[in-house]
Amino acid sequence: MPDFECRLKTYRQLKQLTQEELAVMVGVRRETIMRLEKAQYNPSLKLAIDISRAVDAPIEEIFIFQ
Amino acid sequence: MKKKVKVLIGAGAACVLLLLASIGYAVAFNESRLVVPMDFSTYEFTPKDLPMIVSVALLVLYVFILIGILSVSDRKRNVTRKLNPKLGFLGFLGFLGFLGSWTDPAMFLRFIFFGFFGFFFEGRMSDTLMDERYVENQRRAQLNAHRTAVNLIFAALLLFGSGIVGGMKYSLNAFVIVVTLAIALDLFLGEYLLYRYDHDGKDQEDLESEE
Repeated sequence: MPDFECRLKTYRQLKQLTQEELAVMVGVRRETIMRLEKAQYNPSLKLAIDISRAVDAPIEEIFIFQ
Repeated sequence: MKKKVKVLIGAGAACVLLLLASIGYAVAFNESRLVVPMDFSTYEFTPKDLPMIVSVALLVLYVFILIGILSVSDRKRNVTRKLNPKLGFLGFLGFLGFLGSWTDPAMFLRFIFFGFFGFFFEGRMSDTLMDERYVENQRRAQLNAHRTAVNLIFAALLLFGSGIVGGMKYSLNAFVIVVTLAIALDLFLGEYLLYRYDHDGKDQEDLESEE
């Protein structure tokens, strides 16, 4: 399991986006967003950047590696 | 798009009609050659066989083109192919392999149909968006499936190559069985593991609210 903390849920809710909406915006499945929020999936750099742009937050604040 | 579908259906119907016409011609004017079972070891080409050969070739070509078009359109949409999970029942054809005998080892090759059980899991994943997590899981599943199959084949090679089983004939037959089963296992495991990797913890996810 990836060793990082993910604050995606917080930023997604701030932007008032559902998991489905965010998934469509970044071109992945809702299940992938769900796994990301639980820090069960380590995203590629491209996906991390896409998510960061979608929720208007810096990558290093969304994904915090120990 | 709809025009393309109409053209495809029209071409398919034309191929089938051509085949039916060829069968009618062969039955009426060519003593039912290539229609009823015949001994191909003594086959000699005659011009009257041409309609049957051409129509069968066209039908086969049409099927290949259709499969190609369908797979390309799925790839463009970046989703998995549409498949009915019930096709997994075709895996039961693998039991035909038990009809083989040491004197007729060709029947053992039918064990490969056990691999069709994988359609059950592929069907459950059909029309799924292939995002990066899916592709990653797919690679992991295929790697593990290939590794298992290769290990099985390697073990069989060592076992039967050492001559423990008996004579050359029995060793070769046993090796054919193991290799066939290993390929079937590879086909099945690739789909099964992908499904498991994708759905592990899914029940828990479904219970959670999206908010």
